[in-house]
Amino acid sequence: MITMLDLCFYMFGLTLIGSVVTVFLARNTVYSVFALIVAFFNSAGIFLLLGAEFLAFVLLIVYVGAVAILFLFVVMMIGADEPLKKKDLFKNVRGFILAAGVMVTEIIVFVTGKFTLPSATIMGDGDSQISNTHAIGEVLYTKYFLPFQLVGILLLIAMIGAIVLTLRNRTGVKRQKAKDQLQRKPSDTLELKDVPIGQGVKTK
Amino acid sequence: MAIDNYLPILLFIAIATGLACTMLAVSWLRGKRNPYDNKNAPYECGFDPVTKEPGKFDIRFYLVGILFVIFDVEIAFLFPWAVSLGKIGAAGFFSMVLFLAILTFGFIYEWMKGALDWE
Repeated sequence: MITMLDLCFYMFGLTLIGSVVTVFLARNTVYSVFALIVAFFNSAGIFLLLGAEFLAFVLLIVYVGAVAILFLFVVMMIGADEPLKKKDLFKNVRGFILAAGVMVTEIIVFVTGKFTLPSATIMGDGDSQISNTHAIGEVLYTKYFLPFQLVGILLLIAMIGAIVLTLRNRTGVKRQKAKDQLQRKPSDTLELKDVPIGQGVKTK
Repeated sequence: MAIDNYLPILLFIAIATGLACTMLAVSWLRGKRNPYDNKNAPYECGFDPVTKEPGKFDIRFYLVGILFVIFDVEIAFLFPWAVSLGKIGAAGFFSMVLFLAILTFGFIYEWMKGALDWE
C-alpha cells in the first residue's frame, strides 16, 4: 500500500537524483547551479518527510539563499567561456566511479546495520508534543554550550579569512570619509583675501 | 507540527510546476518555429557582438557573498533560540549574547577594514 508520504518521498527522491545528474552533465555551468538549487529544494522536501523541519528550512535559507548565490558568483567569476565538450565531461570518469563506489559501500554497510557508530543513533524519541525547532532550542544553547560557541568562533574565523584573502585596497581610489567631511572647517580650505582695486591677488 | 500542515505547500508546488510545464508545452506544441542563424544571434544594436560573455566579476561580490552567508548562518541559530527562550532561561540568553558578541567583533573588524565599502 503506497501512502501519500511514500509517493512524496519517491517524487522528491527521483527529482533529487535527476537534478544531481543534471548538475554534472549540464554543459553550461550556470544550468548546473540551477539544477543544484532544484536538488537543494528536493533535499529539503525529504528532510520535511523525515520530520526534520528545522533542518529543512535552514537548508532552504542557507543553501538556496546564500550558498547557491556564491556558486553563481564563482561561475561568473571564472567565466564559462565555452561549454564543456563531451570528451572533457568524462575525463574524470574513474574518479566519479571511485567516489560513487565508496558512497554505495557506505550506504550498504550502514543500512545492513553491521557497523553503527555509537554517536550515529537517532536522537529523536518520536515525541510529537514538541516541535523540532523547540527540541533543538532547548539543548543547543545550554547543554551544548561549548560547541555552540565554537560555531561562533568558526564563523568569526571564516569572516576574517574571507576579508584577509580577498580584500585589497586599491591606491588612488577616493573613498567617502564621513568623519573627515563633517570635521572640516572653513579655515582648512578657505582663505579670505582683501583685494585692492586694480592690483589683483598676489600668488605665492 | 504534523506533516499534514505542509499539504498546501505541496499543492502549491504541484500547481506551479504543472502550470509552468503546461505553458511551455503548449507554446512548444502550438507555436511556429523556424529558426535560422541570424534569428538565433544575440541582438546587439547594430554592432557585431564583441564579447561572448559578460565581463568577469569583481572578487568583491564574492566577499560580500561570503559575509552574507556567515550572517545567514547566524540568523539560523537565532530561530530555535527565540522559540525556546522561555525554557532555557538566563543561561541560554547569555549563551546567545556571547555568540552574538563574538560575531559582532567580526562585524566591527570588517567594518574597520573597509570590507563593506564599495570603491
